[in-house]
Amino acid sequence: MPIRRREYRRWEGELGDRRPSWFAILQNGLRLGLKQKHATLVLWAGIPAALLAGLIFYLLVVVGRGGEGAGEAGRYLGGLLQILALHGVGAPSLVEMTVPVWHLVFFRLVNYQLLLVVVVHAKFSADLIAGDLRTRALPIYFSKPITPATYLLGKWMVAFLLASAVILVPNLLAYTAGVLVSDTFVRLRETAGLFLRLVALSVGIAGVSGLVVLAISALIRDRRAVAVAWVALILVASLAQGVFDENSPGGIATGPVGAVSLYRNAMRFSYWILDLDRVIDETGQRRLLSGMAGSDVYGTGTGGALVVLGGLTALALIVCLKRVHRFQVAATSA
Amino acid sequence: MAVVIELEQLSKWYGEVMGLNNVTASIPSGITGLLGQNGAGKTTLLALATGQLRPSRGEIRVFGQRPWNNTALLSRIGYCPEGDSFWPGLSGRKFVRMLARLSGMTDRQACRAADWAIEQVGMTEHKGRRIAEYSRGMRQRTKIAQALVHDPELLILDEPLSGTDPVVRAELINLFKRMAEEGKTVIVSSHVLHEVAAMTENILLIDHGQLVADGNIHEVRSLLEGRRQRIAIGTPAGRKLATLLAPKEYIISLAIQEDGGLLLHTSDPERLQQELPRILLDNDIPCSEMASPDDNIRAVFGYLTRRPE
Repeated sequence: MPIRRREYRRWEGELGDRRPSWFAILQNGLRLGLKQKHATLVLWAGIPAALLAGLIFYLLVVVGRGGEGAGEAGRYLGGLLQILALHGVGAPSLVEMTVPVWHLVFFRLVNYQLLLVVVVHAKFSADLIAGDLRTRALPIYFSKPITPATYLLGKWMVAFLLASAVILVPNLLAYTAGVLVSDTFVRLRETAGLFLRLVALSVGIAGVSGLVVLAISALIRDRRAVAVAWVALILVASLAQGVFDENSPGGIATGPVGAVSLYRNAMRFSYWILDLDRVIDETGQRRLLSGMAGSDVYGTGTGGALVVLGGLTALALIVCLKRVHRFQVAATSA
Repeated sequence: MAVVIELEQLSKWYGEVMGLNNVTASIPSGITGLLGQNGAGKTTLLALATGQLRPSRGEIRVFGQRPWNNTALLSRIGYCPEGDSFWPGLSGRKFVRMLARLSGMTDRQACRAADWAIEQVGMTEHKGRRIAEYSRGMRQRTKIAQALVHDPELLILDEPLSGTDPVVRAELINLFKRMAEEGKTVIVSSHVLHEVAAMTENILLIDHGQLVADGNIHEVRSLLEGRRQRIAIGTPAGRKLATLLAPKEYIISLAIQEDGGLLLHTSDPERLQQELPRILLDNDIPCSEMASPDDNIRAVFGYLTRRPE
């Protein structure tokens, strides 16, 4: 075997600068994430709940039409609503309350989807920056024409899209199914506001949660430790709040723990974005519906929730930028 | 020769630790060897040149521009870091392609450029395999390919030959020379003098963050003449190789290691470096690594800094 005289052949192709660099980071992050075990299972976990919501919307239409099947549909509907802890919504009053029921169903869906977002970030997003720190990939990244902000944007988009798969996509799917099985144009007009609110809510939760998990990922190199820290951040205050709730005279405690519980604040944010107070008031059945919507807990302290979530977002952004810059330097000089 | 990089009283501290201290030098086009022991400040200097670090004092200019926060300049520079920086699970081709896209290429352009760069480093046969399955030399070549992928004018390579076997080393040195002939500027850091001597005459010598010497390597090498040096060769056929090397006049002693490898003393490491690949290939002897435990550059620093070895 001869020693090859490796001739350097000049590059004769194009060298484009049309594709934004963050897009390449996004593609790489998604590719690596989707290669993980059970990735599809986790990312599809939001779909059954969306189909359940679609079925509820369909049964609402059947009940609203009346006729032979309405009674049976009403019974099924009652059963399905119980699954979503909306057991007080009785069939006779459903025709007038279709749009409020939609709001309540989506509120309950988001309640479930928040747990999925926690799981998705723990599984996929935890390693986004931690992995680069561990494999010393930052000097390679930053030897290319990208800035720390571009890098973070690409990473954040990965976390955002993965979270969107279990919150935005199922919500859009449920909404579309609901519209298609109803009198489409009327329902579209009635629920256009709800649609926009749903998109804003889903994007907000996916975006903020993605940024927070990135900040943790930038602080810790070990993927499992990042996942544990993320789950603890979300759930510890919520579990503590649950204990306080159990022991409080009214069944729901308010106080500093509830104020910092991210899960509870996210639900307050959802309650506010979905405008449930107004929707419930318009039905004239506040006594019935406010209990189901948890108005006592989620309908209060909206300002505080916005401050907590906004502050956390700002803090996460600062941590990400500072840590990435610092690790860029440290990784290079190591 | 045109000056590509200018350093003017350049210093970099990490807190109280000095990375680089008051270095003034010019790096021309062609190949320049950046020599220094581990921790001497080579990587700091290269990181300053690629804009990954900001100077604490003084100035560095690459193509007349300050590299810090200058992403436009980075599209003219290719950088191969010393350590492994791979994402697990990717093939060599996907890795290089992804980094091509970071340079702003579309998928199609990135595919073509990645294939081209991989071809330049002789990895075409293995480009579809996962990096985790690569040998150290293959990983090193893949890193060089990612540095090349956007066809930069300046190539900065941090210890690019470490871990490569003699045959690959000869091929890569040849590649760097050809690139320099094509008008590119190549900066190669190393702590092995004969590696650098095989590709360039122009060197910068750094020790403890300070520029100890720059200029012609032969002047530095003359300081080492007559000094014997240890070379370790990783091969399962050490005994066979020892038989073939024993008659060479530049071999002082030979010893078979426990793992079958060969440890030898030579009075002329450069000549050994030139002849060894041919001996290995002609006699079908596999070789995984060649290293210099003596780290002969220490001797040079001993002379230049008047410190004992």
